[in-house]
Amino acid sequence: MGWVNVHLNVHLNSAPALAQARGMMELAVLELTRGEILTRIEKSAKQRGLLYSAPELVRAYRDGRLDETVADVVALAALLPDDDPLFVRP
Amino acid sequence: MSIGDLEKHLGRVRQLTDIYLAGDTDAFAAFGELVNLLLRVTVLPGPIGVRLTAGPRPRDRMMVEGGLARDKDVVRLSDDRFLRVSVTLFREPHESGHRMKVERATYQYQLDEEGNHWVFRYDYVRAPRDEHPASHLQIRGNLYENVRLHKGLLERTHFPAGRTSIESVLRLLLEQFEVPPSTPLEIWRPVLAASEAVFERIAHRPLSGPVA
Repeated sequence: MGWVNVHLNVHLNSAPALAQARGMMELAVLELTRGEILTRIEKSAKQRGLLYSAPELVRAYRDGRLDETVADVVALAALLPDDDPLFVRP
Repeated sequence: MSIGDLEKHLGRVRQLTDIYLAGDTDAFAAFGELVNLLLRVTVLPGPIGVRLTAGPRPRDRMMVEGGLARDKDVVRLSDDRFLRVSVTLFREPHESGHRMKVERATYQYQLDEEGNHWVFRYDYVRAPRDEHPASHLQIRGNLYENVRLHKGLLERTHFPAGRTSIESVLRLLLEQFEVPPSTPLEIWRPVLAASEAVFERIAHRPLSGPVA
């Protein structure tokens, strides 16, 4: 099957086509509050057997005291603003 | 499925790719929609794919996560197992506009929703903080031969993996782990190839470890 030709035939890289494509997007969006983010981090940490609070875990990771195996656990913290108290040393 | 379905899917891949490459605020949604399309033509048995997860800074940073439950980041596969999908995306200024980039990504094949029984796992971290390869593969299992492993466990051993696309993970599930495909091979292969070709062109490719 000449799928490359098919691909080229349906390429619609024009402004109206993109506007229409944008209108067709229907992805679900979950909006988390700061509290919900911290709760999810702590729950994930607990599942990994890490007995840290969310702030302790995020600070330990950012200080290099925990390795990349917890990067996915603390990933949600990236959704918080840079000036969040979580990132400020006590 | 017909040639018309293939044309439709390939056209949609191209549209969504164009939108996320443009780097506007809807780039996150376009990438998520693309992941959902790829999941639906390959390994998803039902309608629940990935979602966007936003915090207090939705314009410049969001996550694409498996959307099976509010507090989980997995999707259920057609073999009744699970794929953990967790990708952190951010936008940063580039020339006169913005570009969307991946900060970190995890794709993990697992037998249970919680991930206690995982099989393999690909991770990518744009700015790693330790000596492990920024893009690596971990396998949960045992070796036949007696060698020294990181922390004594194969599952804690980080194999450098180059940059791994979600398309290649889906292909791995279908071709090597025999997850039943949602569409005929004549559909899913060209759809994955079209999307992966763009990834291969733009993906950040880190070294396998620190320079010093």
